Amino acid sequence: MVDIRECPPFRCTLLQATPGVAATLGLPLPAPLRATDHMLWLGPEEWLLLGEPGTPTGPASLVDVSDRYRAVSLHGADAAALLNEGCPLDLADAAFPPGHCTRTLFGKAEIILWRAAADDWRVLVARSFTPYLLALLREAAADLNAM
Amino acid sequence: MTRLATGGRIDRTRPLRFSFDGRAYTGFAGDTLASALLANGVHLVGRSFKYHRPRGILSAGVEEPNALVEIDRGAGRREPNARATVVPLVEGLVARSQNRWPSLRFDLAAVNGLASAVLGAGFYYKTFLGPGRDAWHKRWEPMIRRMAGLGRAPEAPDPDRYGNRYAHAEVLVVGAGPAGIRAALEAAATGARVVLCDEQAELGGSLLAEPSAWPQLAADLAKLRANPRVTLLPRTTAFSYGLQNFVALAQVVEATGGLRERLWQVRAGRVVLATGALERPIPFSGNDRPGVMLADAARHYVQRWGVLPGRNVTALVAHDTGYSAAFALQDAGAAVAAVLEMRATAPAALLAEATRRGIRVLANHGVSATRGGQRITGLLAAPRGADGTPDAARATPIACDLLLLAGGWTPSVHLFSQARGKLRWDAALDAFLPDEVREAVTCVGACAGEGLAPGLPVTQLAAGSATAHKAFVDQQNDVTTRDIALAVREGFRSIEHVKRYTTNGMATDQGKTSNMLGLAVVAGQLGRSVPEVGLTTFRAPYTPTSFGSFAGRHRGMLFDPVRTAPLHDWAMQQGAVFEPVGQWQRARYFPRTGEDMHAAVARECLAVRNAVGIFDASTLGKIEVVGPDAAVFLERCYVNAWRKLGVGRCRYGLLLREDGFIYDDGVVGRIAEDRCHVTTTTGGAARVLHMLEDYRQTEFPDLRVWLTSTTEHWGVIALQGPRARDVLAPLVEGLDWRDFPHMAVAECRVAGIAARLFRVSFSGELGFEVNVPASQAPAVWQALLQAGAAHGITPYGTEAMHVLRAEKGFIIVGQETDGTVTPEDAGLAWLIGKAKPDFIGKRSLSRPEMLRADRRQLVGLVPRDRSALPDEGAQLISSADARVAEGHVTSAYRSATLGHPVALGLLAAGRARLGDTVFATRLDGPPMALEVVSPVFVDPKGERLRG
Repeated sequence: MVDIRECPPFRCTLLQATPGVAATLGLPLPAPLRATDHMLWLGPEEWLLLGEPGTPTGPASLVDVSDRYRAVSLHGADAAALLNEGCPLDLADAAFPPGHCTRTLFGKAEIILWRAAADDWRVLVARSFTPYLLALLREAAADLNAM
Repeated sequence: MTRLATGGRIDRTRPLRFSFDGRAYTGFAGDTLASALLANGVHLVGRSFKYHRPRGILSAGVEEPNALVEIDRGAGRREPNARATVVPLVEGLVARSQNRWPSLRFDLAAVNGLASAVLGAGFYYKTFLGPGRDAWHKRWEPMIRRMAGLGRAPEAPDPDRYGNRYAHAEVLVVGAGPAGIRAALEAAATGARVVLCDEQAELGGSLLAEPSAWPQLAADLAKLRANPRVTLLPRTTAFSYGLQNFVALAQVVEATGGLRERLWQVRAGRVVLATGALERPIPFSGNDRPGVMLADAARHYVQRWGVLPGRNVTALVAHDTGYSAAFALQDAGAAVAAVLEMRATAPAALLAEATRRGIRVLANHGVSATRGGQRITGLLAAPRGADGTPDAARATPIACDLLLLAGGWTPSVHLFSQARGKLRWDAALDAFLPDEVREAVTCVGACAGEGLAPGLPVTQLAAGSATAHKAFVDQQNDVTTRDIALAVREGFRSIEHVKRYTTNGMATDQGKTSNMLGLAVVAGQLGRSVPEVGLTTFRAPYTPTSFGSFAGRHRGMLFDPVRTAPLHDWAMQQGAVFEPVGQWQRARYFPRTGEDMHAAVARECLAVRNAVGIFDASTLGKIEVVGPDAAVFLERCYVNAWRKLGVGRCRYGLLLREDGFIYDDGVVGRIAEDRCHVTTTTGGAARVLHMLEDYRQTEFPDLRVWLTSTTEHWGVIALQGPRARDVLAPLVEGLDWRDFPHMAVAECRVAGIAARLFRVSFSGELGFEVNVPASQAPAVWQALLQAGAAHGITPYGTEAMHVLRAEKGFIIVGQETDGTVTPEDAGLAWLIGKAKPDFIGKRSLSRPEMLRADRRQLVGLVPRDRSALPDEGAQLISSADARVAEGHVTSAYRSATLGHPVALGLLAAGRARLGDTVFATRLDGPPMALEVVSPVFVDPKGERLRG
């Protein structure tokens, strides 16, 4: 069983800068493919800041994208299997431990997949893809254990 | 009944009713359709492809060429060409035979068999060359389609669902026979994630026909099942082996009212192929009658399903395993009339055992003919001559109702070969075996030749068969030894050519029982060895795979994401008519009661021209370009000059490809020294971002600039029309209207929401675009509607937007442009920053071809008779009877503003032809006369938008 829930809207800001400039925010910078409670690593020189962003010192790009993303959370023992309906990555504990995040695909939607905790998977998606994401997740969830 | 009282793995306490061709039968849980039919004494199950010969059940597995049936599980669930040998029996199963008319027992088209002399090898090719050019499609093709089609496609939509699962495993084991189970156990013991799949409904492979092995099998499977890191997948066929151990598996689920199939896409660290081996049939005259069965298949029916497929058995053996089958049938109560040993002498131990059992063994014998109609009744056993031909003159008749064929074994190297593994010919084993391979793949068990013993070489199995009458090699495609011999006589030497000419091995079974025999016949005809002739290519899918499993959930509403803008729900409530724009659904127009599209669009256009219209422009692509070098970056990419664009000002930008042709356009607003708000076309949003990001990273890594897609962050509401300011102004806070001319941008508040307000126009009227966070767009929209009510505010859709911009001669990228249009062609050369040293596409613009005077240029077009609408896409010709196109119509609309249709087009040297008459071709009438005019129909001086 997987519990699929739409998350309430949340504040987020995309930060692009050199690691040196990003570090001036005073937050620990997550390593590649990792996330903290405040920051998701999305790519080289690219992080998603959660909550109110600070102001880095030095050249940087800070862009409010709060309304770009919606989030869906998945809980349950079969959450990884459900995600593997549309996401080709290896989501086992060894390959995708808690705290991991990455940009990937779910079906035909680009997503940010963030495993906030062992049983807390977050799927961030551009807002117009939310109905597609939810419909695909829910249809797949109904068939998840059919063998 | 031929069901044995005891034995087998069926559950005699769970009878299952099913029907075949309308007759009711009963089988048991654990049966396949084939075993249940045999248990009911049914051997005749189909008619052959070309000759409509009666056919039975040859095998007990996926290689089955004959027992192809239609399974009918209700509307939309009818499945043709199911192999009865692998269809698990379920309660109420409805199956029908195929390729027969009017009935299976009495088939009129069997007359094809009489005409077989003209349906031989290369028939398809030869009839193309027959008398008259139309012979093929008027005569032969309809006939062949009627006569030879196998199965019927379902007509109703498929009501079931198809799933997908990506999986990763350290070890994927294909085949759950003894070797596969051993490999899975070994891998699981190391803690690895293991996927074990098998095409059959029950795991065990050959062990399922070895009752003594069942306790261990049960224990092994229980051990695997208890391991959470092991995934067991019965009824799951590994059908495609891609690069880097990416293997596709088709799982049949058939959950009631739910999932029918699931496609597994497995990335495996190591693949273990335990795909076993297939028994070879034997070519001789009449080897296709119902009741002729592979020996080991017969043994499986006895041991696994408790079915005695015949009571009076003869075995034709070229391999020791044939004896085991004959003995097993005898043990189950059948009489074994004779074992015809094709080899010169029978192996001593087996001969002794046969003698002890009272079974007659005739060494160096073959079959010269079989007897029987819908089931075999007897055969002629004949001593083999020096060349292997059975000597019919010295033949002895033997009565039988079941003829076992034990032609030896062919390792199943299909997937190994798909993995680009090389095969080597093992002369001792008389088989192709896995050799070198780059993938991390291991072959174990019979597919690697392990545990296989040699029998009579396949060339000798086929020796002498080339002259036999109706000795079938490929039973599904009705290819005989004579067809193959004929192909060789007609000059075909390559096995690939022989295959295509005769269609041997090209049926849905992909030649699992016929390829080696065909190869042997060709080798015999050419006097070459099997490896010298070579092998045809093994291709995916290993067995037929449904389209549904490839489509997965990508159908109906999930076929492609349907993207909707923040004001979609509002537009739905208003009864808007939508149109797809890429993945977006956009409101096309808002019809009022009684209005058709034409009336609604005319009303919406006039509202914008005379009062004010409101439009959801949220789908426009938006990119935030930020960094100290933001303007420099845009300067290098777009054709325009950007550095002097002041903060708070906008400019219409044009982006070219390297080749100098227009790629995208949009307004760029300078929000701050180091921040630009770039808009793109709706369809170009993703590709423009990718292109700019590519340049940023690879061409301009020196620039301190970053790009962020904000398309979905902003909801965009366009207000257009002479009253637009009147509507907007009362809602705006924090804006100095005195410094807000056309092409300005400001951050302010609109209806209390933080906004980026653009003063821009795509209609030619005074216009604004209000950007607010997408979640706030509905509230701001409502506020504007309310404020605009007194001014006659009118929502308009994409169709009116198109008309309004066409009246102004504004291009739409992708409509006026087609990848071959330069800025000069589009009349936009004035945008180019002349002093700039470079921008993307600059060099291409000075190529001689780009400077030709006769390039097609954007013009306006008006019908001479002021009434008819030219077709978009119509060719432009210089006179009504001209044959050379000089351009085409790119847009055409009825203009309520002007009272006549207007069109835009690309016309050779068009700007020099103002006032000329050209003609637009029509599909349904003579060409239409058009006057060439300026593309700007409304307000050429642009006074309205500066109002």
